[in-house]
Amino acid sequence: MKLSLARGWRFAQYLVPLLLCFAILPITPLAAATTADPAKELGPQFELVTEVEHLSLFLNKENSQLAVFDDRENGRLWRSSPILENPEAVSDSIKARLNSVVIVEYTDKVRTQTRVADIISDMPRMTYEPIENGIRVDYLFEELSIGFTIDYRLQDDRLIVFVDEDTIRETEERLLVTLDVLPFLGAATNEEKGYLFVPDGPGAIVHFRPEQPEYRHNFLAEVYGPALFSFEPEQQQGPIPVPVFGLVRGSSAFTGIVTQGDMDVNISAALSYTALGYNRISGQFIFRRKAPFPLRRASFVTRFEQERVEGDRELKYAFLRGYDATYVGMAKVYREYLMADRGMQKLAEANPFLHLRIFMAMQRQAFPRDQFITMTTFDEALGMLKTLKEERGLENLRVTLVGWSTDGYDWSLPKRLPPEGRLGGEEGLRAVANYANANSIPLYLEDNYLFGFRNLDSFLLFNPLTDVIRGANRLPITTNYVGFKRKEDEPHTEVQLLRPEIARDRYAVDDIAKMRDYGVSGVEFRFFGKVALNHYPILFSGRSSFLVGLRLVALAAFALIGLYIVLIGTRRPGDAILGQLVGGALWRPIATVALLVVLGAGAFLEIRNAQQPVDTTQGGTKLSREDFVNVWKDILEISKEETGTAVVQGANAYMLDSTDFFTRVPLDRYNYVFSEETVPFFPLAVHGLVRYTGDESNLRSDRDEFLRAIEYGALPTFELTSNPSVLLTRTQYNRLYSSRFADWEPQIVDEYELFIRQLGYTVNLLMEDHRQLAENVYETVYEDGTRVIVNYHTSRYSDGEFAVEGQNYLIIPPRR
Amino acid sequence: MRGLRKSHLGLLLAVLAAIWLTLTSAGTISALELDPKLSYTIDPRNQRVPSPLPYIFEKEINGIHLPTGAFKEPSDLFLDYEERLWLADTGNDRVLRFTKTGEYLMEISNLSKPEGVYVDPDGNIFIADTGNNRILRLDPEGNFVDEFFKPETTLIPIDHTFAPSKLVVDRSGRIYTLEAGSNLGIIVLDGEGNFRGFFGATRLDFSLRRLIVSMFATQEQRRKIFLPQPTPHSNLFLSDDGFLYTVVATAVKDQLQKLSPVGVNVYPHSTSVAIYMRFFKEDSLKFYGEREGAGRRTQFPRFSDVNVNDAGIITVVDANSAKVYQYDQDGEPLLAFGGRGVQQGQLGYPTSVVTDDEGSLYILDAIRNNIQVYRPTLFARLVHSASKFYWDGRYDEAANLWQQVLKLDANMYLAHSALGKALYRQERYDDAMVEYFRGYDKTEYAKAYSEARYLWMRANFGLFMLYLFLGIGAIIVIPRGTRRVFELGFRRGILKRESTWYKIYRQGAGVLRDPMETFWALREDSTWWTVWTMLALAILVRMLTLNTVSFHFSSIDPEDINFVLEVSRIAVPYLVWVIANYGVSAIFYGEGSPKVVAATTAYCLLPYILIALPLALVSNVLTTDESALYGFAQTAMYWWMGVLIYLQVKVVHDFEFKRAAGVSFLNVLGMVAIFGISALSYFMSSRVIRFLWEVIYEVVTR
Repeated sequence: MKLSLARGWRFAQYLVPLLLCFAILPITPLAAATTADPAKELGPQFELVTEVEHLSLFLNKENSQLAVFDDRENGRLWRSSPILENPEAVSDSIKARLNSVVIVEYTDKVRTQTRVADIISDMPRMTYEPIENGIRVDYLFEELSIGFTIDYRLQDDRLIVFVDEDTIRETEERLLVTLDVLPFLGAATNEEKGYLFVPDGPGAIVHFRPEQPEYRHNFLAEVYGPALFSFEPEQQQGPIPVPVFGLVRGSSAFTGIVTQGDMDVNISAALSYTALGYNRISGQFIFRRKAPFPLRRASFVTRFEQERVEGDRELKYAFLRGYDATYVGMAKVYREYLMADRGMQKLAEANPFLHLRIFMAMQRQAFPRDQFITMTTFDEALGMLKTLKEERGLENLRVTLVGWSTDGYDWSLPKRLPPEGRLGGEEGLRAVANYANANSIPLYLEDNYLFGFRNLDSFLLFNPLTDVIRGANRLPITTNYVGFKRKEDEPHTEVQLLRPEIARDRYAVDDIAKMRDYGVSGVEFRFFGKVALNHYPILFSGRSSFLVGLRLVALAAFALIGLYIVLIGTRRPGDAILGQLVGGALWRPIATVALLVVLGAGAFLEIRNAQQPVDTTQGGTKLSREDFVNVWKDILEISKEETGTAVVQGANAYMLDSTDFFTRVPLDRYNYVFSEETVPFFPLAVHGLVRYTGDESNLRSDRDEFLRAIEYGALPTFELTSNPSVLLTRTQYNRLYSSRFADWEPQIVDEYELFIRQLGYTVNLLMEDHRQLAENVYETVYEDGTRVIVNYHTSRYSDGEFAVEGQNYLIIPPRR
Repeated sequence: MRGLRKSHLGLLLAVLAAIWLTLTSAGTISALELDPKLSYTIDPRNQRVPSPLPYIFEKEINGIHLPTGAFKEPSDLFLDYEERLWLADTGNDRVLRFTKTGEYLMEISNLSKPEGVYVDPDGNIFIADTGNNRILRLDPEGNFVDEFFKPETTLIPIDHTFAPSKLVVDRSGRIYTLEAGSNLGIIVLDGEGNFRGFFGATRLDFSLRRLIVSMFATQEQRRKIFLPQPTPHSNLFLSDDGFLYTVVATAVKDQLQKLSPVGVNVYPHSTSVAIYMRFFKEDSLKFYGEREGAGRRTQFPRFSDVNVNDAGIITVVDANSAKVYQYDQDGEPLLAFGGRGVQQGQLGYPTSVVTDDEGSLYILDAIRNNIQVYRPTLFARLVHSASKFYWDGRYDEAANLWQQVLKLDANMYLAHSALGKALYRQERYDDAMVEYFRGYDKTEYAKAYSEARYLWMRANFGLFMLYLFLGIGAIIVIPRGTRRVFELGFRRGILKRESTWYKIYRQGAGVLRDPMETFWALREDSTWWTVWTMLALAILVRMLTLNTVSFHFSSIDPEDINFVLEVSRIAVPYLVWVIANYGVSAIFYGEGSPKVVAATTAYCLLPYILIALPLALVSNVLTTDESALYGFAQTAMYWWMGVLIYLQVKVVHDFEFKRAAGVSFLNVLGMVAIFGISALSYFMSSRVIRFLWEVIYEVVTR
C-alpha cells in the first residue's frame, strides 16, 4: 500500500512539473549528454550487476568502481569516478584518489594524526558476493588490517549503499576514523552547468563557476552540529539540520540521504579548485571524533576517541532528471523518504495559528539577594490572551509560557516546580490554563531538561560526578557559550548538563504529570531539536582510595576540632556562642550530642560505603548520539501521553517524526561562506507535514526576515512581555530587546491577518515548487497552485502577469 | 597566638563555610545556542548588550568574474564623489575602479604595491605608490600629471625611506599622507609636493623614566635604551567639514581621533576629567573598541580604517577582531557587529571601509580578497538619523526617533540618555532621571536629580524641614537610645553588666569620646570578641553602604558586588596592619600584646562603621554640586581613622610623639613589605598549588 502510494506520488511528481514545464517554461535546459548504450560507453571492464526499474548498476571488479545508468530522458550515466580528460596532467596519488570508490581515514595507537588509504594505492583485497539486486563487496586492507563490507544495491529506483557494523574489522594499531563511500560520484568539472547542494540551515547551493574565491573551496560539517563541543565558541557553526546532500549536473542530478548512521556523518564537499580538480560532494561516515584529552598539567592534547562509534551505516542515492534535477527535486525525494520510511503524514487540517511566547520572569544577579524581575505575571498573561481573543478577535492562537518556573527563567534548574509564586503560583497558572482550555487555545510551558545549575536552591538536587554528561575524555561537558558574553574575556559560567536519563527518570516523569494537573496542553522542549551529544560514563576504577582518604581526613579533622571545643576549649562557658545563646548549663550536652550525631552519621556512611560493592553504573551507560536522542524522545512521549502534545525547539531531522510543531527553525541566510545562495530545502521538504515557526517577529532586524517567513511558509511567532523590555537590559536574558505587548499588539493583528487569514490555508499543503524569478525575487508554489511571490528588492518587480512592490509580497490564489 | 580562644575556631569554620558557599553558588544563565548574527552595543560599563542586527550582508565584489581577476591583499578602498569605488589592489600592483554595484570600469597599472588612493571632487586621482616611494597624481582619465617623492626637509631623517601608504587631499590641495609604520605623524605636502609640516602626531604620556633618561643619558646611551615611541596612525579620513579623522593601530587608548584643521584632537582625551568621571570603573583611558583576553595575553584592537558618513556616524574596522564599530560624533559607541568567522556577515581581515549615500558599508577584506557590501537595517538607519538630529541640537526630533529606536531595542543605552535629555528640556525631571538611569548616565542623572529635588523642596518645604529635624533628632537620640536599651536589658535581667557585649559597647563609646584614655585602659582589658564584632560590623556596613548609596554616587553596581572581594577589602588591610604593627613595634620595644593590638586596631574601624552608612543614605539627597560635602565627610572619616590609628600606636605601645610617628610610618612600610612578600610567595607557590589543584581535579572528575 505504502509502495503504491509512493509510486502514485512519484508519477504525480513528474507529471506536475512536466506540465508546468510546458505551460510556463517553454525552454528548459534539456540539452544533456545522451547515452544510448551504457555498456558500450563503459567498456568491457564494467559488467552489469542488476537492473531495477529505471536504474541499472554496473561494476568494475578490478577496482570495484561503480556506474549507475538512469534510462529516463535519453539516459544518463553516473560514474563513481570521473573519467580524466587529461590523465598525464594529474599526479599518481591524485589519480588514485579520484579512482577510489572508498576513501578510508585511519589513525594509529597515539590517535593524534590521521592517514588516508584508498583503493588504488593501498590495494585492499576485494571479495565479491552477489546479493539480491546488487553486490556485496568486502574490502580488506591487509597492511592496515582494516576491513569492512559494503553492499551496493538498487531498490525502489534508489541506489543503496550499506555498511554493516558486524563486518568492520580493525586492530589496536590501526583505527578507523572516517569512511567516505562514493566520494566522487558524479564529480563534475566547471565546464558543466550545475551546483552542489549542502543542507546548511534551510539549505544552500554553490554553483560551478570558472572561478570561486578560495574560502569557498572546501566544506566539511557535521550533521546536526558537533557532538563534541569545541573550546572555541567561534568555531560553533550554524546547524546542519538534515542529513542530505546533492549535486546537479546540467539536466540531471543526484541526491544522497543518510538513512542509517545519520548522527555520525559529515557532509563533505569540495569545488574543483582543490588539488583533486572536481566538484564533488559526499557523506563521510564518522567512526571516531576528536576530543581534547587531558595530559598531565592543564594541557590537553587533541586525540581521537578510543572507542569506535557503532551502528550500521546506510546511504540512499536518488537520481533526478529534467525539471526535477534541482534542489526542489531533492527536497521532494527527501519528503518522500520522510513519508514512506519515517511514517510522516500530511497534516490533516491546515489549522493555522499565531504562536505567542510570553516571557514571565528572570533573576538578575545582585547583592545581597538576587533581584527578581517580573516581566509578566500569570494574571497579565491571561489579560494578553483575553485582549487578543476578545478584543481583537484572534481565534487561532498557541501560547508558550517562558520563564514561569521556580525563581524564573532557568534559575533553579533542575528544580522547576512549583510555578513561581511571585508570578501568581499554581493558582495563577491554573487560571491561565483554564481560560486557554475554555477558549481552545493550546497552552505550552517551555522547559529545559538539559541544564543543571549549582545554586543554593538546587545544590543537592544532582550529583556533579555521576549525573552529568561527560565527553570522550570523561570530563564533564560544561557549555562553552554563556548566553551573551558580556565581555570578550568573561569566564565561562559553568552550567552542568544533565544526563538525559536523569532528566527523564528523576524530573520529567513527575514534573510533566504535575504540569498536566495545572491544565496545560503540552511542553515546549528547549534544545531538543538542536543538540545531540555523546555521553561517556565516569570511570570508577575500583574505589577511589584518594576520595575515601579525603573524606576520612575531613571527618577526623571535624571530630578533633569538635572534641577540642566541647571538652577543653570552653572552660569558661561565657565565651562560647552557644553558651551565650542557650545558657550555661545546657550547651555542653547539646553540643556533645550534635557532635556525636554528626560523627556517627559520618562513620555509618563510610562503613556502609566500604561494604557496598562498587557501583560502576552510577555514571550511567555510554550513550551514542542516537541513544541520547532516544531518551529525549521518551520525554517527548511522556509529554504526549500526559498532556497530548509536545513542541520541539529546533528542527534537526531526527525529531521530525516525533511531533508536529517545531519552533525556532533556522530560516535565515546566515550560513557558511561556502554557501553561495540560500534555498528553502528544509521548508520544501517538511511544509505540510509539520508546522514550524522561525525567529520571533518582534526581534527581527529587517523586513527581509518578514519576507523570508512568507517565502518559507513559516508561521508567525512573537515573544512578548507585559512590562517594558528595558527591565531585562541588565540581565542575562537581554536578548529580548523589544518585547512590550502594548508596542507589538498592532503588529500581531497585522501578521495574524496575513499569515492566518490569508495564508493560513496553505499550512497543510505541500510545497510544490520554488524558484527565482529575478534577482531577489522568489516564488513559492503550493500543491493546490497557490503562488506566493516575495520581492526583497527595494524596487518594484513586474513581469507582465503581475507586479510586486519593492520589499513586498504577493499571494496569487489558485485559479478555480 | 596563644590568646586565640578555641571557641573562635568554630566561628572561623562557620565563616569559611559561608565563604565557600558563596564561592560555589554561581547562578548565571547560559545558552547552548550561538547566534551567528552577533551584534551588540557597548554600554558605559563597557559590557556588551545584544542589539538587532544593524547591517545585513548583501553581496560581495571579488573580481573573480570580472576582467580584473581576483584581488590580492587589497589594502584601501575609496568612494569618490560620483559614488565610484576605488580599490588599491596592493598585491597585484594596481588600482581599480568599479561602480558601486561592482561593475568594472578601469585599471591603473604600472604601480608598485600601492596602499592608498584618493580622488578629489574634481576627479583628480592621487595614489600612494608605496613600493615606488612616491605619491602619484593623475587626471580624471588616469593620465600622468605629477609625482612627488620624498619631500626635502630636515625634519625627516636622511636615512628614512619615504613610503606613503594612505593619503587624503583637502580643498586647498594640500596632501596629508601617512607612512606605514612611521611615527612621524601625518606629513603635509602642498600642491607642488613641498613639505609643509607634520600634523597631529600622537603624543606620549608623561613618563618618569623618559624624563630621567632624557635628562641624564648621553646621545649614545639614549640610542641604546628602548624608549616607547609615539604610535603611528594607520589610516585617515577627511570629512566634508574639514576635520581629519584618524585611527591609531597599536595604541591602547585614543585610537580614534578627530583632528581639527589645526591638528588638535577634539575628542575627549584620556586625561579628561569628564571621561574619568564617566568611566571611573575602568581606568582613565578613553578606549575605543574592545580588549580581548586578560592579563598579559590581552589583545588590543588594531583599527585599520575609519569612515564618517553624512549623518556623522563614524565607522571603524578592527583588523584584529574583524569587527566593525560605529561611534557617534562624540566618540560614544553606537553599534558593533561582525567578528572573525566563516559565516557570511563575519569578516576575515578588514583593511578598509567606506559608506555610500544610502548608508551601505563597503568593507575590504584582505583575507577573503573581496569587498563585502552590507546594507543597513531599519534599526541602523533609525539610530543614525536619531544621532544626526541629536548632534544637530534638534533634541525633540531626535527624541522622537530615539523612541522608535527603543521600541526596536530597549537595550540601546544611548537612546535612553538622549531621551533623558529631551525630557530634561521639557522639565520632566523625574522621567528624565529614569531614562538617564537606564542610559547609565550618572552625570546627567545627577543634573536631573538636582532639578527634581529643587522642585520637590519648593513644593514640600514643610516636609523637608520635618525630615531635617528628624535626621538631626536621630543623630542625638540614637547614642542615648542605645544606652537606654542596654540599661533596660540590665533592669529586665536579660543582659549582665559584665557581659562582653556591654564591655565592647562601653569601650567603643570610650574610643569615640576619649581615645587616649580608652586605649590605655584597653591595654589591660581587651578581648578577641572586639575583633570579630568590629570586623563583622564593618563588613555589614560595607555591604549596606554598597546597597544604599545613590546611583550617581555609586562606584559599583549591585550585580558586580563580589562578597569575598568586599570582605577582603576590609579584612586584609586590617590583618596586615595588625601584623605589621605588632611586628614593628615589638622591635621598638612596644608594649602591646597581639590581642591588645588587634582589639585597639579594630576599634579604629569605628568611624567607618558609624559614618559610612548615614553618609550613603545622605548621598541619596545630594547632587553632584554638593559632592564636595560628601567628599569632605568621607575624607573627615578617613582622617579620624588615621588619627585613631596613630593614637593607638602611641598609647598601646607607650611611645612618645616622635617615635609613634616613626613607628606608624614603618608600619606602613611593613604593610607594603608584607604585601610584597605574599605576592612573591604567591607567585612562587601558585604553580605548586595549581599543580595540586589539577591533580585533585583529575582524581575527582575522572
